[in-house]
Amino acid sequence: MLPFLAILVIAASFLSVFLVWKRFELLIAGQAAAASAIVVGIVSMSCPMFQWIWAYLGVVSFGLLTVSIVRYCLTREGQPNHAGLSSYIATLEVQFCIPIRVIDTQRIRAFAHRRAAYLSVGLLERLDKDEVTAVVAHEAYHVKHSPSKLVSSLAALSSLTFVPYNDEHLADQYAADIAGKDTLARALRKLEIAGGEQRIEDLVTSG
Amino acid sequence: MVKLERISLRNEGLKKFFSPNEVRILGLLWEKERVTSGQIQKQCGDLSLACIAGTLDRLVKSGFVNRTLDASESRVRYLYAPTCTQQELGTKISEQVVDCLVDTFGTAVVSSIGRFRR
Repeated sequence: MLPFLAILVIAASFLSVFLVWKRFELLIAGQAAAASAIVVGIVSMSCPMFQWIWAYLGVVSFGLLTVSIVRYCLTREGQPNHAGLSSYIATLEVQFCIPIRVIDTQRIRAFAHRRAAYLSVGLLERLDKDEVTAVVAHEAYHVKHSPSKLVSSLAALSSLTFVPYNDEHLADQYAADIAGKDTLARALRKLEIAGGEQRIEDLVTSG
Repeated sequence: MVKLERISLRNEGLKKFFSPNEVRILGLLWEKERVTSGQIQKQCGDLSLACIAGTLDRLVKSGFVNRTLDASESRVRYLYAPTCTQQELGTKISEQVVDCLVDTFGTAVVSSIGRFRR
């Protein structure tokens, strides 16, 4: 009975990922890699065949645990508001209708997590105000288009959590519409993100 | 607190207790108090911003450097200042190391230090 239930859950998670993100090729590739690793393991250990389901669930729960620990570590230092910054942050919160948390670090960080945008003080220090607006717009797109908790848990079950779900390109487009292409390009250059030049090029060529 | 496992007696000067980047940044902070990360980057032109940011975060976390948020003049920035002078740092580290030595060798350490009292 239990193995069939597990198969049902896995099938549901596959389907949800396919319906939500339409990234079928990534799904297949990830699952094929995980499945072949498990099959090789089981054959080499000569276990009964049904054990692959338990092995699969083990891999998935390990993935879930890792992801939640990473997320906890990233967001732990996010403060609802920083003394002296509240009015500046509040203006941005009102403009984009999302909560913004400030991370107490000199490092440059910006990401969206659980319906809130996170910015580090290092980022606020390095960027001009219009560039900060572009970054917040980009993160606001992620917040507004992030899947519900149920769907993201199902996606985690099909061990796809390390694939970026949301299209960075669409978020860049949205930010460029609000803050202007040049501003966003300047922000991307200053942040020195990996793949930043490619994203600037995409912005320019998309017309 | 200097981490005892990080002390390497073979290095020169303060590098016995800190990484080379930490020594450079601490030196700058002792020279002029209340420095921004931008000023530090200007002085250490060969270090990347990410490297400086990481080192500053580490120094703040270990308590050698203090930072305050300055949101005046329509710019957000951190102002960095050392928590102790070079002299105070010397006292702190000596106490820590001598405590550790006395724990291990007892009175031998005391008589050895007695040499310097003349």
